[in-house]
Amino acid sequence: MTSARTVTSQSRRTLILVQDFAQNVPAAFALLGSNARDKVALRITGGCSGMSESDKSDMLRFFELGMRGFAGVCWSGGTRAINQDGSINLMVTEVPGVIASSNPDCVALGTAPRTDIMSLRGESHLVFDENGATLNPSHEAILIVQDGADGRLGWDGDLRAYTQLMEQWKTYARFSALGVIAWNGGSVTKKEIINSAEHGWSTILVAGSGRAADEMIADSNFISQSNVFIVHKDDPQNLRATLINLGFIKE
Amino acid sequence: MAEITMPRLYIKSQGEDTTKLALKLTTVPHRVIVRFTGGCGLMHPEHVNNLYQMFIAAFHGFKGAIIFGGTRMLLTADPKTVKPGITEIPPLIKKANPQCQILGVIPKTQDLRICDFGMIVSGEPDHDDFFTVNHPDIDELLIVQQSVDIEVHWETEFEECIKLTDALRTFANFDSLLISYNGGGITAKEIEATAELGWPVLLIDNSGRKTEEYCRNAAFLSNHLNVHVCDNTASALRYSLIRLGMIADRHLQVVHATTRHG
Repeated sequence: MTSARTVTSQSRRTLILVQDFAQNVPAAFALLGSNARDKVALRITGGCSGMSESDKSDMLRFFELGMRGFAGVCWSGGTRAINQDGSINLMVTEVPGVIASSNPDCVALGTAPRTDIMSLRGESHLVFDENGATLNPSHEAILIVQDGADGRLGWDGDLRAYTQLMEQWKTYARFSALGVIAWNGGSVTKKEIINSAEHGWSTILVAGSGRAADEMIADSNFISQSNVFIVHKDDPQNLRATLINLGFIKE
Repeated sequence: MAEITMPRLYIKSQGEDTTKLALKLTTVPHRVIVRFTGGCGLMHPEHVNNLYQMFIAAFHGFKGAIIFGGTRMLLTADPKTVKPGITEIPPLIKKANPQCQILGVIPKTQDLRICDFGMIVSGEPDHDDFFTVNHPDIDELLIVQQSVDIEVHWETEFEECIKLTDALRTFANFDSLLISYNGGGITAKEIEATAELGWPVLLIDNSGRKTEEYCRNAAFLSNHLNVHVCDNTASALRYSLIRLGMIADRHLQVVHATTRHG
């Protein structure tokens, strides 16, 4: 049985790379993204606050169905939340691993700002932050962004790095489509949604998922932008159709 | 006013990554990278004859990436005359095979200066018989320095190429090949270093100087089964490129056609 700490990435290992906030993304991490069959990248952002276990399962099912056939880079935050009993607390950071496990040409990656000093606890398991999260072993690689060896960043501390890498994939590796899908989430998610729209990336908001995603949908000025799209959480086929239409899924 | 062609310049300090350039190389249709090393200023005339034609014929259909010195040597007495060297080859291969990517790497061994013929990277027209500028027929050029004030050695070129090749092999599923033709002491160091890494090396026999010495070194060859030797002919080189996976098998038919028509 797979535990919360079992490595389930396709290569059966998760590479961990560390960069300083002011540096460029390391070539090793950037190159891993180039291994995706299709040169497209989708960042999954958001949170799952206030959602029941059943809602969380439905969320994963939504992405699994909506992204069927996806063969690009699917990436998100690089953490995994663990319940008191050691089981996985399903969050959007589980989405890339789930997508990659059913779409072998997809590459799952994660980034995470180092918000605290990492520590080893119990049977040497790595604790990433003050909430007890660990690194997500369903990703091929995780890029940790830090502010010096003992500094602490906020939860948006990796936004600059992943924005930079998205743009470098487009400019130098001929990625043809970049986008963000937002599910639920708080203030950092809102920042990421705005950042995506400002960069001209396809920005897909999931209606009914709650909090930041729904709040942005309520902003008529924001959703009037030509690169902002809305899909409903009960309609994964609409997500898939949208992704096909935008060139993220090749049929 | 003189007209010079300048590639897009990337400048890095030793130890830094070259993420942009590494990503650019991943756009090739065939994930292979060939590193050219060997003779430049000191090749004998007999090792220059047919050199370019041989490589162009052998690389027909190549769709991978090439990294090389990125320089061109010009005669001081007549700076419009190009001195033959291995660094002239990749731009010619690129011209004949537009889908491949070439990247020049130049270590900053002295202060750089722009003249009427490009950016001088070695020698000075005032003192030397020839001087070296950036090759004008490449799109991207990586200059490696230790810092603004401190120069690096010529070995830095191959050290950087090994680092870049390692990243592409490890993280982007590339295969690699070092091709060595002629060359001196630094070429010898690169052959040794690459052989030790266990990566494929192809030495071209009868190309002169250090490469030829290694072709004759039975102990070295028997200790490094990843080092291969081929004759100094287009057909032998092409056969080796196919056998080592640098050119896809489907082009084999073209070889036969080329051979048949001379």
